[in-house]
Amino acid sequence: MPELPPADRAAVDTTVELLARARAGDEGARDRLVERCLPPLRRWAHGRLPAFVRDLHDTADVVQDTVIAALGRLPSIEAHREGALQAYLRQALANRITDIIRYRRRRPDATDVPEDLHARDASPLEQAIGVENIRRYDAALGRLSDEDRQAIVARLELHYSYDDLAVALGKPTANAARVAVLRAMKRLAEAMRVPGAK
Amino acid sequence: MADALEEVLVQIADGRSVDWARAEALVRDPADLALLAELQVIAHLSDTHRTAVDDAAAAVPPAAVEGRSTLSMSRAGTSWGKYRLLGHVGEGAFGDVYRAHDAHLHRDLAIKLLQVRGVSRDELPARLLREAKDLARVRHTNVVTVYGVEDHAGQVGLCMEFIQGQTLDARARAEGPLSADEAMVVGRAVCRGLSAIHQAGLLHRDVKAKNVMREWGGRIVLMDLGAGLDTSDAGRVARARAAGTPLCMAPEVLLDGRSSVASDVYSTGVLLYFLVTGRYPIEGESADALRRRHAEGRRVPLGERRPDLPDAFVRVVEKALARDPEERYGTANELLAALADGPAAARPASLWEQAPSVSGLVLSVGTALIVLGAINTRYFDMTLGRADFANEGPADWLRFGLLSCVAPLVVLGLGISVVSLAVALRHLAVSAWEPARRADTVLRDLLHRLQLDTVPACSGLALVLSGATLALAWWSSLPLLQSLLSIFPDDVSTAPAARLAFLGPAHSAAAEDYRLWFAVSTFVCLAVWVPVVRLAGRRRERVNRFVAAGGAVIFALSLALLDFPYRLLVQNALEVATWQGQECFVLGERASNVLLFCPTVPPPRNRTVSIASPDLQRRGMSGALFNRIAEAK
Repeated sequence: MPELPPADRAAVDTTVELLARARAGDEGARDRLVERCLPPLRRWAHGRLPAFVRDLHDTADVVQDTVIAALGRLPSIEAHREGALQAYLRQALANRITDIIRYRRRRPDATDVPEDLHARDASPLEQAIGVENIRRYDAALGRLSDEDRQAIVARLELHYSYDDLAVALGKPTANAARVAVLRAMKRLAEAMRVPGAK
Repeated sequence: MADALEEVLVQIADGRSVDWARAEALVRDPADLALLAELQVIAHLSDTHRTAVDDAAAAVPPAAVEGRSTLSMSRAGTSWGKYRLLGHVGEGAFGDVYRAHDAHLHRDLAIKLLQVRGVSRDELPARLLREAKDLARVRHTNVVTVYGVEDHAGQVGLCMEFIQGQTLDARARAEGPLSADEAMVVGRAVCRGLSAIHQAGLLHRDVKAKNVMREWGGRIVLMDLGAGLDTSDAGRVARARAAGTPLCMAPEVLLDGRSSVASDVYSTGVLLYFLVTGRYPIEGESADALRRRHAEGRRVPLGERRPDLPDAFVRVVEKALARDPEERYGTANELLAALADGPAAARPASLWEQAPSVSGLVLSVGTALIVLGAINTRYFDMTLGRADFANEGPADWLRFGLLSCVAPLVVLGLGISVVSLAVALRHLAVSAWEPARRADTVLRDLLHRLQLDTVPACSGLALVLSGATLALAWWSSLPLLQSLLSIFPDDVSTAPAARLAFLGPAHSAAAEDYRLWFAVSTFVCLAVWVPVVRLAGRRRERVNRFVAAGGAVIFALSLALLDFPYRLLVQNALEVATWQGQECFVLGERASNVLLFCPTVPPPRNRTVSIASPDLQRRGMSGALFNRIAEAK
């Protein structure tokens, strides 16, 4: 995964610094933050956007617009680690995708219904695991602690390496990050099994 | 949580494939089965995101791929016939491969479009058609499925199943060499596919890591039969030139182009070698250099590059790579069988698995008991000062070894029962009672936050617990322990009576406590270290060697303190005799003399007396050695 954030601790520390500087109004820092956050989110969005949405909205544009808009609300972002920032942006992107899909379904094209409408209506992720499972997954993810949610998003959705994850989650070692992922996964599965459980 | 679930968690987190059927077979608890179902959803979700990652990466053309034409690269994003070409995903023999979408059948597929380089245009369709026909003859889960050949706008393409995954070459380069276990799983799948190809009367001729895909679900698929050869066409076989990749070619193919089942087996050996080392058995800058090195036999043995690999696996690969085709496995099925035999030898075997058979197990246990018996008997003899008169043999050692284990085994059984009951109750409570589940979650959170669920933390804790238990046992048995240790360097014959007092009947309860404490200490060592070792195994981590050495020392000390004084404290009944009116015990016989221990006489209490002495009267009954020790002077 060549575009994953670098494992280099100094580089990721800079991500947090960039966030602080961007909060203080440094435009250059904000641009560099956008550049750094985009690649993994773009790949993530690829799995969540249905084909019929991708026809009208380029995935990269959707991601970029969302990230820039989210970073525009910088003063309200509580993120002291890269993992928290990525989880925040991922949620913003998920909301944006939901909005786009709702909008598209309310206003169908004035053209003939395509033959492959059913397949085009579902995102790759929905095709793979089903709408209901995604709902349960998202609901359970929302009930996890911030740290668990960040671990799940970064490792299972954005596919961070354990080294990168250690830095993103503020863990001392890659192994500690791995253990955090295992724990979070177990809690996620338990939360999915018992809907509504905290 | 069941071990199988833990294993599945680790596999998903590490991005490895999960054998769901096996996991389901191993998990019995309904609550765990429900968790397993959720984990399957999570795994699919993770895989789908990963696929998206690679799709995105595949859409970006690699910087330099040798021989790729700009014409073919430019096709991505255009249409070919009814298919929309979504992206260039790789190169096969004689053609570029695209991911495409069939709008009519609503499915993605792979299309290999012929390249023009180095082959006459007239020859291309015939060649592709032949590959399609060849592949169509093979129906196997480990061989890519061919849908058909089509011709659009003057360009011929082979339509195939689209495999969502990555080549083994990409995987090995991204994640480093595989373990022997992983390589064997891949090797077996490749052999199955290759065997199906051979049974269809074909040769693959280009088995290599770049031609084997691993689907995200874990299926291994043999691709690209473009260099394949129909063995039923004798004329074509005779005319066939060497095909494939020189680094993976068998020596006979490199030297005179003789492809055969054996050369495919050789290439599979090269594939296995590459998977576990990232290198090739014979490397060179040119085909000529490779031929020369093959002729000189300059192959680097697998064991030299990976000395840590199991011998069984190394032997299988080395045989597949034999220079003489006759010495290799005769068929892919034979190689498959050899690899199927491998896991037990290749996996770090547990002690139980290492036991060759029931008789081997009995022999091992018997030997251990004899050693234990010999140790406590030797200690007994030294303490009594009767080393020269002792006449007990292996049968006695076995008996005393066995007897010395009874009490610890009872403690072990009770301990295991208590621990199992506690685990079962916790499991039941967590499954059925919401407050318990919450408490469990809080506890686990706490452990996690304190980083107490890591291997270093658990092993450190195990060391502290086992050490503390040993210290407690030591402290609780201190008077008796001091008494035992203070007998040396004397023996019971000359030791002051005060030192022997703790061996007397007044202190029998202390002896029982002593045994109990050190049995508990030994059990605690096992109870805390076994889970740590299993945790480390599951997480593929190692326990710090100093911590492990400390644990081993504590276990050995507990066992030694439990076993050494066994006979002195428990099995000390000897024949009673009267000598000069004093009650004595027969410690042993040698030639015409007996060694007596007379506890009530002044030191030395041991006396060597002639068997024929009129002062000696043997009573033909046994008595506990230290019953009258209180009267010792």
